[in-house]
Amino acid sequence: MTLAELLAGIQASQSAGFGATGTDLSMTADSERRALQDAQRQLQEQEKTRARDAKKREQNRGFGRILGAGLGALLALPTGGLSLGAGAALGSALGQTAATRGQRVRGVESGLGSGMFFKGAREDVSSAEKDINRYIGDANKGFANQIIASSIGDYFLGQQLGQLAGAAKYATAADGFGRSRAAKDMLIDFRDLLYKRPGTGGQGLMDLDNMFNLTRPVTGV
Amino acid sequence: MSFEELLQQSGLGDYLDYFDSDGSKIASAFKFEGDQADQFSRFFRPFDRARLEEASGKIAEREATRTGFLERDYQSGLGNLQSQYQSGFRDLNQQLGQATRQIANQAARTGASFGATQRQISESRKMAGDTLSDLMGRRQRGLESMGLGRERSLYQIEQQAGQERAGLTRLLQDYLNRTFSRAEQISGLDPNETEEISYDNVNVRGRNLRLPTTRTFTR
Repeated sequence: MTLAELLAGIQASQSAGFGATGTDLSMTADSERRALQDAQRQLQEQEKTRARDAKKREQNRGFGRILGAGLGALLALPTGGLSLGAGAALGSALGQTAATRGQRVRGVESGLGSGMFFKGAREDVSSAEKDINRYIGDANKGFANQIIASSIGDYFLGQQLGQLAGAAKYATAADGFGRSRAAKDMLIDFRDLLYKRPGTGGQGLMDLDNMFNLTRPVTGV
Repeated sequence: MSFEELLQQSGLGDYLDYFDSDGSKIASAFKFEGDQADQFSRFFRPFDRARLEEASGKIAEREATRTGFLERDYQSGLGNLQSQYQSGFRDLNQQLGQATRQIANQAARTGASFGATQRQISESRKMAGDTLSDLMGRRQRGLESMGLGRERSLYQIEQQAGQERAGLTRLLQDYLNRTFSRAEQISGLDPNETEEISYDNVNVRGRNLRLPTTRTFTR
């Protein structure tokens, strides 16, 4: 091989080699750039989904709280005014827990694998992921606290309601004639509150007296 | 000539590390260390030292060949000049002998006086002396001309070898520029740092296991 051929060969191999490694570098960098963008997009989407999940859970909690506290209070109402608070609180806690069962907001994952480049951008994604997860973790902890706090609130509310004269009479009735009669009394009062009593000139929407054979017992209240 | 000597000759002796045949060592020369050096090795093109050494050897070979041709031409020229001189000297001797004999014969036939004959011989010797001095002058000029020509040719051979070696230097420089440019490109892509994994030999239920002591995160 002549010198010219040798030099041309070295030059050509050098150029081709650098061209090939340069292309490899560009392709690797592009692929990592795309993966980063994808990870950022995934994080944003997951964050929106988690926010929707949290909102839905909050709605369910509210619904569970109303239903639970109401049922708890109703069940406790005939047993006495003081236990009304406890019934409302227990019902509220159970209602909220049941309504939001299995609805713990899950953490987010960027799905970003390892790579050679874009250290700063990777740290940004990782930091954003940690921030969102920390926020979700706090929200989950706060959610449990919210259930406890609202149950305590419902306890005091129930207690205050139990101290009202209207509610206190059922407790007295329960003490005097037993729980079943007090509950019957309470239902009749609800009926009167919601429907016009038959035979008083008004018409009830349903004939509850006949349907449940309800006649007002003489409780002396 | 070794590759190191070639680099020294080209003034690039300080950059020997960048001409390694192992890509990871080239990456290490740019302070990419540990895993990074291994990962980035594929983006560096190792230099083909063997071919450059071959090219360098070829240049020396070509220089020697050209010098050899020149020396042979010179020796042959010297030989020609010498033989021309010797032949001229021989011819001159013959001519002088002939002329002396002719003068002597002519003097015997015509009975010319001794003085006239002596004058004729002296004239013919003078002519021969002039011719001889001319011959020697030409030989001297020939020798000088050949010596100058040889020196000029040697100079040209040296110049050509220098140009060829400059071609090698250009190749080395081109390689270095491309390598530096590649390192700059990689650096511009904000390289990710990874920790090197160290291993511990752990004995688990009588079996020796090699387990990493630290975890590597490459987020």
